Amino acid sequence: MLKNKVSHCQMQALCLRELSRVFAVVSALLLLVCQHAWADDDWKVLGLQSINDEQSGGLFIERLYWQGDHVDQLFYRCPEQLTVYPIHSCDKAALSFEYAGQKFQVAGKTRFDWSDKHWMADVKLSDANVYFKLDSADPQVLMNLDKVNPLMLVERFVGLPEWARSIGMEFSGLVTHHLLSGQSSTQEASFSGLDFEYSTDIIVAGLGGTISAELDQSGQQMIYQITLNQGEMLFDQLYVNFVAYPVSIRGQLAGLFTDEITFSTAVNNRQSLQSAVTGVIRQDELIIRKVDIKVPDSHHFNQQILASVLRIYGFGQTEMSGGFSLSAAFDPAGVLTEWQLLLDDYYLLNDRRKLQADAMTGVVNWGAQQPVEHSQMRWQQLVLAGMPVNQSQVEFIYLADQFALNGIHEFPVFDGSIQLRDFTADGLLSDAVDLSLKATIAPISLRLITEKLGWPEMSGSISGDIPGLVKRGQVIEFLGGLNLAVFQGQMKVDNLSMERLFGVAPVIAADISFSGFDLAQLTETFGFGRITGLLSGEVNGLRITNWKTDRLDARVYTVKTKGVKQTISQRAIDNISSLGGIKGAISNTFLRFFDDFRYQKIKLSCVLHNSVCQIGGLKNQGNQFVIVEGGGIPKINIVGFVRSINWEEFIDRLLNANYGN
Amino acid sequence: MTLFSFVWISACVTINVYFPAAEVESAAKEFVGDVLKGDGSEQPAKDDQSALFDGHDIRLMAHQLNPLNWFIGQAHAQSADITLSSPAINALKEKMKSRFSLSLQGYLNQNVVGFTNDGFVEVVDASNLPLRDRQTVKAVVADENRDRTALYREVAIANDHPEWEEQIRQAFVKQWIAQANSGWMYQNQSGQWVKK
Repeated sequence: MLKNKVSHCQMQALCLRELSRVFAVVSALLLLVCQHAWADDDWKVLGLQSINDEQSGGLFIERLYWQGDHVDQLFYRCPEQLTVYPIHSCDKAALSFEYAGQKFQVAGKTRFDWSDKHWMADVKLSDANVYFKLDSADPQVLMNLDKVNPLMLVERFVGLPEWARSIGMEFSGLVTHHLLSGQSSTQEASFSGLDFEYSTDIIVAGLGGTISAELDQSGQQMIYQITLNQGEMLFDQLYVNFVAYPVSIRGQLAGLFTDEITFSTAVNNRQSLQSAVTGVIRQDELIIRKVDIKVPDSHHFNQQILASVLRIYGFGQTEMSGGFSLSAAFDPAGVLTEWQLLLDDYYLLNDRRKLQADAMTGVVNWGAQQPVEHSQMRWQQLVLAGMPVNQSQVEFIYLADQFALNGIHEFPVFDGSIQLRDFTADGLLSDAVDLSLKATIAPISLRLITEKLGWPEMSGSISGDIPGLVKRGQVIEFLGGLNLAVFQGQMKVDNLSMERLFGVAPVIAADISFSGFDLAQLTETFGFGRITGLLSGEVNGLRITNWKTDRLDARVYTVKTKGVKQTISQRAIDNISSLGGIKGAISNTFLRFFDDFRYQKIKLSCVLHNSVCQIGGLKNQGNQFVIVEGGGIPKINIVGFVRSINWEEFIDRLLNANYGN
Repeated sequence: MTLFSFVWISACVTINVYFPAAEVESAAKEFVGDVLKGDGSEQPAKDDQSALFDGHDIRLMAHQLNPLNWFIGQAHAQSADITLSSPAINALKEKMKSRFSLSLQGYLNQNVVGFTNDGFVEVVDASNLPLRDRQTVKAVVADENRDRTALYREVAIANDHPEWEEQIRQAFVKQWIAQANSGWMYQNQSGQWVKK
């Protein structure tokens, strides 16, 4: 029966014209919510029917077409008596319709004045706090959203891509939409609870803040300004808590609704971040063109953002201050072509990794293919793996995976220097880094080094030549050797290598040999008790891990030399005896009346493995060995009977001159 | 002729340097057991009766009941000469024990982290963690893996065979998985994550 009426009405153009004014209200509303152009000349109505009973009046339209789109099952009902002419007004109008398979219901006030053709509607979606205000005199539609997910509306009307459907949020604010120009805008609207999970590594939760935006549909562009002060974000290794680190985002999108959207966005934090990113979105692919990041206060930036990322790379608890900036450029395909890092009075300290930089200022330029400007860096002081490098500067070229020092550099270290020539590194991004280096160490006073290390002060100096180095996996091996002039003798350090220098359990390994050490000076330095003579020895396979001696195969022995007296003091004998746990070996006997004794030879060896030193000396026989072979009268021999000794205890006894006192 | 044969045989001496797989595995077993005991904190009690006698305990008991072993058992037990206690290894072990108690154990129990089939740990599923913790677990995993990388190398060096590093790592792979609590995730040979 209904269908008959519909088809009947469909045939009657007069019927349609009479009622079309009322539909103007209804259709304008539909046009608005569906974001279509304001036009009233393309409408077609199928199955129009007037509904009137005693309490209410209304309309039913089976299908309403316009501009190639349509809605179905449209009911417009007013609980009051429906008056069409001269004025239609309804305070509690209800409208329902189906669009794209979804049912919509709105309720509110409608008014149509036949005399001046002025109409207005003030309605609310029945299942969401979305209020529409339309006025035929004003091509602007006001939409008030109160804690609504606007994406849910978009999804209901035009659909969303799969990934966007899971985005949750609450939006409150006024959105204006200009029906003629197609421009929409919102000012200082608030949003909260924005959740989006792209993957377990790219996720935002509970984002909130304010948004102002202007969308120009015909110009295909949008400008926006967002403040984020709620929620948190994880982007791979980067975590940001926006409550602690609020940011403002300002930017624009161009080429909207086309295959290539260009964007430029600035992200700022009032205290410590000014950044800008430009790029394009092409077929759902994000291509970055340029990135500029300026951090004027790296202390704040580090506390809030950087420290937790550095922790993943094993550089947790790094302190920093001063400023830095980083800019990067990409080619049209989004491949990084160059970057530049600028440091400005930058300070960095990582105690655990023994790294420090004071007042570092300069620029690092990197290029993927094209030669870039030389990089330069200067500093007040630099500490690398505990080694302090005084005020100086460095100039280098960094191209693709090649690094090369530019010219000869001399870095002051204590009162000497390390001169680097031809330092290059190839294949930096690969596992097989090819290093070459020529270095000379100009004499550095041992007094200063030992003072820094907290050891007993030693006189003498260290110098040497390093003609090259090789990197094998994590191990860097230095060719050549270092020469130390110490205790009036010579020491040579060969096969020096370093492993995981800035990593876990850093290792320094070397083979050491020495000769002609003045024992008097040496024993005096360590407060051991005076011994005179000349000492030679080797420490093979020395391996210092975590800045502690881990392994060695060492022997030290005196070398009888013409004109050199070989004497050992009572205190020294007591101390050597104490290595075996004997307290006051001499001082408790009548021999205490002798200050010094002559000796033939002293020898001590230690093979350290697994914290245990296999100790030995002269004439090793079973558990027995001779450390000091006396000479003259009274003849004192010191014989050891314990071949295994705990290393820590051994060193403690050897260096602790007060043992037994 | 006899003399010639003797010289010939003497000239063909072959020296076999073998990897002491059993000893290394036994040492790795002890090390892993220590780490998984944590830093003084008690291991969560097993809630089934099987905890009273696990396979190892039963084998040990049978071994001790065999009268032959009253005479020769101890001698064999002491023949292993693999050391896992250099200062570097000890320091790494202490770090790993403390990390296990403080964080790793919790992540393993929650199946956030699992043991990989190459001797390391990896984030398996962090989706139930708050965002900040997802970053923290990355740091814990990175720290643990740096320590494990250093550990395998230091064990090889402590035993005077740096070239054994790979085999030592393999011995540890077995032990991490073998001593994992039931319910923990580990990666099988084909790379799939499975629950123990």
